[in-house]
Amino acid sequence: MSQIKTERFRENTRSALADRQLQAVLGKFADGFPVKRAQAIARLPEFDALRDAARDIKNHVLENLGPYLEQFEAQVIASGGQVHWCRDAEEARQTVLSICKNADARTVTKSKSMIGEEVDINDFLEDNGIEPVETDLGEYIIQLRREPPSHIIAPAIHLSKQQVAETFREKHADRAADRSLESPRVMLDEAREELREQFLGADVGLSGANMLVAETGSIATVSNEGNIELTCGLPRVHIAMASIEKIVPTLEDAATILRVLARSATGQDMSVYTSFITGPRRPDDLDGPEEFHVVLLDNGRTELLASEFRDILRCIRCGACINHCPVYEAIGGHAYGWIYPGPMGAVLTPGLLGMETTQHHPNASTLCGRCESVCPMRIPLPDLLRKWRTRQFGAEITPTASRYGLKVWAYFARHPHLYRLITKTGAIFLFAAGGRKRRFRHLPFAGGWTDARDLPAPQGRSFMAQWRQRPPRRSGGRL
Amino acid sequence: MCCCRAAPLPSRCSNRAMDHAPPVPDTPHVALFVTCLVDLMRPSTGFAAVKLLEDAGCRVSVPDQQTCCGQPAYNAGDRKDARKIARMTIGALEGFDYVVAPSGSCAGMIKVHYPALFADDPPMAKRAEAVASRTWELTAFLVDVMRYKPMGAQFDEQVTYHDSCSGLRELGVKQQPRALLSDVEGMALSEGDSAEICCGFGGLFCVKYPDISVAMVDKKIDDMVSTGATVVLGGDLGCLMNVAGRARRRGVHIDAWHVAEVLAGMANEVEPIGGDSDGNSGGGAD
Amino acid sequence: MTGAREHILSAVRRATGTGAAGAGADDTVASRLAAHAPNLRPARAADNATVVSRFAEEAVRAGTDVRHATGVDEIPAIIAAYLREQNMPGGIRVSDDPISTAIPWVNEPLISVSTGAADPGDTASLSVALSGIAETGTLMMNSSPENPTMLNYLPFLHVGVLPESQIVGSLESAWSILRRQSGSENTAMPRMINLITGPSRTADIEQELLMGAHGPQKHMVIILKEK
Repeated sequence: MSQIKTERFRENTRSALADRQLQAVLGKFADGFPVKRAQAIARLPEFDALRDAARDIKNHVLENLGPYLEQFEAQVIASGGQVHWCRDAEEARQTVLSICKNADARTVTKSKSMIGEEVDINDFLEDNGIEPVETDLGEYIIQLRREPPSHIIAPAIHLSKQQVAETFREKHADRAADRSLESPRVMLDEAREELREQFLGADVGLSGANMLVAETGSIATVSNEGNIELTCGLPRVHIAMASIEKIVPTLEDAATILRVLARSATGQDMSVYTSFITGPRRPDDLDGPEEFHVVLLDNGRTELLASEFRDILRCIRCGACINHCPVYEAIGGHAYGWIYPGPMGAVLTPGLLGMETTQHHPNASTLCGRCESVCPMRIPLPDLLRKWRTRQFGAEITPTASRYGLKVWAYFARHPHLYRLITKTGAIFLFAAGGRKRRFRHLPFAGGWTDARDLPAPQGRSFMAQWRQRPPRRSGGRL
Repeated sequence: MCCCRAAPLPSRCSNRAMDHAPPVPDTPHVALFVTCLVDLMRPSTGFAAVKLLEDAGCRVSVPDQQTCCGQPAYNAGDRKDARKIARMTIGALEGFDYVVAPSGSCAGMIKVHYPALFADDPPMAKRAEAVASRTWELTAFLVDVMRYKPMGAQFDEQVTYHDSCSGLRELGVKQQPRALLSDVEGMALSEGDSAEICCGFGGLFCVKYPDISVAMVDKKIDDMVSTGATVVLGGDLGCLMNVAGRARRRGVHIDAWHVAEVLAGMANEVEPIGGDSDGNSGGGAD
Repeated sequence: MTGAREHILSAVRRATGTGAAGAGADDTVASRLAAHAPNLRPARAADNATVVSRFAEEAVRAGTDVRHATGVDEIPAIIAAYLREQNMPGGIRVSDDPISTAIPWVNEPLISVSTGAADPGDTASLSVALSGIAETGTLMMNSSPENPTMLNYLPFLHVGVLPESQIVGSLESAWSILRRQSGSENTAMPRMINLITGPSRTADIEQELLMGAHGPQKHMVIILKEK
């Protein structure tokens, strides 16, 4: 896969913070999704109880995933579809390619699929002479720009409308060069026209799936644009790609998840289009595909299921944690270097790509907990980030200087008398050095702080030193 | 955890958080967990906490065998050291009616994370639970347990409040400091849109990822300035040092005090964190 | 890929601690599927006397144009007026459903009516909903030879005719209608169930909300009160 830049997190971060255009777009971010989510939840007093119910559903599924997967498969087959099990990205790519080849496909329309991104299906199909066309507006824009998504539900959120207009002018070359592309409305209408032709001409439709319903063998899809249904419904072959944890037991369980999904994602009560697709076209149907394939992907999830990170498999990809993450808001999605940004990404990415190339992801967080407080599936994201840090520490991926620094500090912290000796002298020294202004602009070994912040100076003798000399009052004094 | 009561409750024992707790003794014996930052950087916060606790009718002790709660090790993935420090700290804090810390972050560490640290060591987990169940963040303790109302504190400033993340989301500290501040004379409180959003301190985060941290604190400071306030109060020294340190460097007129210092009527005597901003847009010791 | 199937399933079983036979887990799963019990349903999803007004209110919130008819004979005038209002051409593609075929178009000679699957050139379409969900103002469309799916997606305007008696409080209640219709405890799913809540939209360019992305820019529901 060509687009993994997780190791360049620091460089990515620096350029993101220096990118004025990106910062301007991110500046608007906090006023969007979080406000709409809060409004939607204010209208549903049972929201927190529904989060509990949704969490319980997925926990039950994960505990019984084997039988549910088999049940789902049996129902897909019973409704005339096919299920393809794939251990890893390469198997998934080959499976999709072989279905496309059997269908003599030249073009494939695609609705947004994070699994498609995960296995990098677009580049692979292109390399094999098949043209993939993204149809979600945001995905379409970034595909034209050959960029990865910067957000799991708003893939082009890092772009300004001027950038989109430039892209359309360059890529829609057969249109009048001097046409107006002033407003998003005009740009949308142009994209709609371009994509209409693609929908009608495609040989295969490739979609993701928000849920796999074991009871019926249905896949559930959720969108606002209507592109998923055109992707699944117009071509002769429909392929849905999904990872194994997308299972829900019943249609009733799907209803519960839907109640928390859109509210958490965009702040809608319900997304505009939710579809349950069960098998291919039926006899006498006037439309629908002749073939229906489900590509079921593991790609590291069974390992997560067996690990202390199982909770992340409850994730329904709503993006609420990303929308409420102050780190994401500062650096955007591309800085993370792969397709899953923000808190859910910082937990999932090391699980899917390994710890070695993703060491920054669990660490670049203040563990502020805002993500967990909005997660509809009550995933303890800060806790999972901390668990990755523990694994890194154990595997000595944590930088040596940090590890030894911690060890030395911890030694003193465990020995209060030694500790007092250090703090006593330290406080006095820093107090004396703090000068009239009571702060430092520079301090050796504290550049991480003082490069951009003054460091407040201590007030003088430490609390413990002063407390020892406090005259006895009604309080208990020293112990 | 982050849901909070809208108004102070009528009597001590109707407190929901206290439903299963033993009744509050007449003169509760409180162990002050000073926290490492207060100990080293700002003892006045510790003395303000002692004054408030004593005014509220508590007997305060400061156990000697305390240093830091161990959160830096815990959050860095060094569970072994975190456990050793926790074991020592639990030993120091046992035997009191309550443990109170002038920090949501350190109180959260003891209350929420100590029990989790010993999940595989039942006897130790039991001790951790016992200490955790008696541990409180200072303002929450004063309001929820002691029903305390500050008397005669005066602070003639336009103030905004920063809700520290651990206190807010791990312990549900939100209304308590505001309830206490509502009794301070002369003070006007204006809330910012991002009062609940992280300032970018995050313990070691702020030195490991300083550029992200500074971007976060800059947004925070801009929001504070937009409220018209010239003072920020909060319950955690780490956040306040981060905000004050950046505000000083930028030359922004925002002074920071720990909420306990204002409530104890000491803010007029001790200078703000990092010195005051008047006339100095930098300088200081090099 | 039999190898992959066995590999994944055995890894799942190892991770979840269920044996290869998995008898216990199989029973748990089978009984949950058979019960398909509803989970918590919010108060606003209640099946009660106000479902019709709540449906209309929520649908309007979602951007749907809601109209009422007290018989299929009123539908042509409603549509004619809407097409004039929107300055749209007078053609409509209509599904083959018994309700749609009963609509008397003779009184609106300016509307040209066609049937069958949707054509890319269609500007308006009409099909009949299986149910309406008051909780969110959502229309439930099911695919069938009489109601081809693309009618709901290709044209600029989609009109869903919703018999008032089919309006329920929640999606769970709508699933019950579907199960009743299939006449067995095993849910017989149509190929497509489309839940539609308002017109197509996107906010992918600078978060500006625009209607009419790929699906219909206009979505109308006619609530039909049978005489």
